Amino acid sequence: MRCLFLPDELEAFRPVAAAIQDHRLEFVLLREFQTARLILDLIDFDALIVGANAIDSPTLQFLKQCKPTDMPALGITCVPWMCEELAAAGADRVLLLPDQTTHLNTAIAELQRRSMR
Amino acid sequence: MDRSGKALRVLIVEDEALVALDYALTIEDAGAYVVGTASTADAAEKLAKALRPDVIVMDVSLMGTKDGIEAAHAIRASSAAPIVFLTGPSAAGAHARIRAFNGSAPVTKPADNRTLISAIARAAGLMLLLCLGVL
Repeated sequence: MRCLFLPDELEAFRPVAAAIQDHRLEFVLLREFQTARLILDLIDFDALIVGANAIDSPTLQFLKQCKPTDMPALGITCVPWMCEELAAAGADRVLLLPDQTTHLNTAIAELQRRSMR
Repeated sequence: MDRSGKALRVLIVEDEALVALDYALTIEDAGAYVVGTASTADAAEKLAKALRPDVIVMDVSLMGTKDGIEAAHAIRASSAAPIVFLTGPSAAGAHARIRAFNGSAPVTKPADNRTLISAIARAAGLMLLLCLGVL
């Protein structure tokens, strides 16, 4: 599975990088978020993983405005009230870190299953 | 930062997500800007063309059928960005191929932060001299 990982912070989303590595996923991690739409057009991704810790996060905006309708998306946040925002923005599943860190592997496996349909 | 005061834009090519994240943190802490990371040669080539980084940090061992040196050759067709290679200590064959590519010695993994940043700074300095027409 080839995933596009858009974290608005790096250290906070280290567990996500660990899960990506554990599953040996192909990945592109973008920090220049304004180019994410361009990169989506250039590379055939199977899934999107968005890390957003603030309501004005550019990664949340990307999820709202640019997520392809047929691409499964996992939303991750360290801020409890952001879970609802990520779900409303189009995440198929949302995890709260660190409470749900142990669910990351299951969530990634689920992304893999969804992306193969 | 380069000498013009702009943050240096760096693309990281590394197939281990945790290692890529650590490099990104180190590079950002040093004041440069990581435009993104890629785990395969094909993605690296597309990102290099689209994002036009100032420097590329390239692990030699990558996912897929192409390694980082092959990726570098493909990138060179559309980008003159200097490339800092990272490779394991026992990869003698890779060292020769890297020297043939750009005359440089790779940074040996595991790379400490200072060594990685020095290598990027040296690569960036060379690029600036090229832009100024000095070399």
